[in-house]
Amino acid sequence: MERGSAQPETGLRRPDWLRAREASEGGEFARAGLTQLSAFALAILLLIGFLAAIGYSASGIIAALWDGSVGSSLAIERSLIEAMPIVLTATAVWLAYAGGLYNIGADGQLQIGGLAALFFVLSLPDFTPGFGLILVGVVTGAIGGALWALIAVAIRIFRGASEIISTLMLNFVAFGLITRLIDGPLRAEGADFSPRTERIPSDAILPVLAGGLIPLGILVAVVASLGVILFIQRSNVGLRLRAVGRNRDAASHAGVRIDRYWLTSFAVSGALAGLAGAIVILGLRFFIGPGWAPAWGFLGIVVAFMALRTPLLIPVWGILLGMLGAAGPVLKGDASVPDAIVTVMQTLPVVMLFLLLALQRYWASKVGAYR
Amino acid sequence: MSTISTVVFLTTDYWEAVLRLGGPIALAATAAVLCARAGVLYVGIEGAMLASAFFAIAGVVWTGSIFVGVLLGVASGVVVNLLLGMITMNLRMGDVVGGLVIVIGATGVTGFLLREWFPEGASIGAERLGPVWPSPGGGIVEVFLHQHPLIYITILAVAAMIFFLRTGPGLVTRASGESIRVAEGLGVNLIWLRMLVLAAAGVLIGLAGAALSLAVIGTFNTNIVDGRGFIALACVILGGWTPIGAVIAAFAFGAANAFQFQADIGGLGEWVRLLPYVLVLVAMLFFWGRVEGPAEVGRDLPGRSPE
Repeated sequence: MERGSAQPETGLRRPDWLRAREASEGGEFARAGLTQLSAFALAILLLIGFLAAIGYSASGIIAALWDGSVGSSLAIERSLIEAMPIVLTATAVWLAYAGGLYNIGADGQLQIGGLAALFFVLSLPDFTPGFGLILVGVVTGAIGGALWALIAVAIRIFRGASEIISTLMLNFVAFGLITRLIDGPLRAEGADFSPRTERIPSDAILPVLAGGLIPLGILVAVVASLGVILFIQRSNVGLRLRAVGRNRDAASHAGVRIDRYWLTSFAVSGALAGLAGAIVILGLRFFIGPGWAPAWGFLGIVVAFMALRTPLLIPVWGILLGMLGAAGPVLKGDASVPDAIVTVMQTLPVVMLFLLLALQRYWASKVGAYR
Repeated sequence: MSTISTVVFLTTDYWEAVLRLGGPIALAATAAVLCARAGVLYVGIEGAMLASAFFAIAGVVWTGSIFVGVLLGVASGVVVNLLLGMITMNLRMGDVVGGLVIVIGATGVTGFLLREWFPEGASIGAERLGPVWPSPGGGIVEVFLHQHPLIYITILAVAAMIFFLRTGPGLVTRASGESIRVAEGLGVNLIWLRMLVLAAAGVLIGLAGAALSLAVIGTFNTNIVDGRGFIALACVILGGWTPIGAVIAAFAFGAANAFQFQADIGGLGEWVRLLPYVLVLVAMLFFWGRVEGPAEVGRDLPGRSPE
């Protein structure tokens, strides 16, 4: 059933009317983006109001959020660094969902990608130039993530077993594997107290551009993200993938090979998450130790579904969530608010967005308008 | 290795640990089976378990009564699950996205409340959840018949669920899991049905959270659940979508976990810890399709998935 037929892919191509509609989608885009922005603002204001009601200083919180996210060039750099993995994992989740699959395993793919990048960068000879180290790290990271993701989609294609459960399990396997490796074969010589790997050579560290303001990693992340999204939105291949996501039977009848589209899109999804892992190693952590990769994959899911109607805004929402993440320590230090509230600030906007959308539907049904 | 492991398996300590560590997973697995049979993919399980673990400890710290702690854990399990049902179905976030939002949100909220209410940390000290009746004997009898009551409630829950799934309402519940179209044809409001199922699962997950924090860990931190909720989801698959199978799988996880603590020979424990997850993947690869699960699991109600 899911294998698709062997017909040549002559069917689905973007018809002229679709091209015309794509060109005139500006208004729709702006409206959806505005709804998202109001949801974000409402959620944050609600939380600040709540914190003020239980005795924290609202002005102190706002000042801490500002200082920690954009208040200094260091804060901007931290925000963008925090955003790098989120932008990429969000794109990974969105891409898989475009084909109708849930990639809950971006965390595992990110970890395997980071591990691969670290391993291959460390095993290159000393005289390798920095550019070569970075290239190898990024490529092997992406391949590592893709291979890890392929396990899940292969089980889905060949056995029909839920990719949701398998990607979840693969997260735990990746985590356990790395915990084991950094305490065993990959443990650094000098790491006596806490298990960790060797540092990557300083030549392999991703530079920070524009006078310490913009890390190279975020540029790579945003370019990769926008490239993938535009390709899926504007190409015949992308249209077929979205057809698979919307209606598998119809896509199959139109001659789309569902297994191929799933394999490829899920592998690229894993590659994006693996790339995130590589960039985290090369631009943020430099080695793997306990707790090196917090649940960026889950935050990616939040961002992907926040920007579901306007995928081109994924980098924007990723950076906003990164800003909140960077403000966490300042919020704790300056305003003495427990920094766990940052996690709530990062999650509430997407709930608020779906609430606003539900209210819009309710309103539309009340006035009897058909959408 | 063989001698050491043989010795480990023979000790009453080991079997005690299997029951203690497997208990919360088993309760969570019963909740997950109930949801799965009604077609709900219970991804939020990890968050619901975390919230009830937190409130169970909070209840004990506030009142000094284990009973109040368990009650509060159950209440928060139900509340979180109703919230989960609202955001997945009424707000149309779908089981996966809504569930994960609950998971992340619960980490944030409990982390915040922990610092807010218990700046010194929330710990119940020696007042563990333990057996409530006198010991019926020594040795292995003691191990199996002298545990905290939630272990035996698990068995009751399994029996009740097997009975329920055979009754009329149970049939409707299974229809919601097997064929949304048929269930709708029966004239059932599926949102309300799944909401009720989530509430019932909330009771079980509340007990699971309480068993975890009050009988196993004793101190709260936001990592307390440590994937046990997701493991329970996997137990549903390993157990062939039946309550008995899922509970057996859960105690097998408990056995692996106990082995890791009792016999950490040259780092072997950490590898054993990986084994269950790999086993789930292998099971999915080789046995999926032979034991057919409910057809509609993870498929959101019509028009209820994110778009």
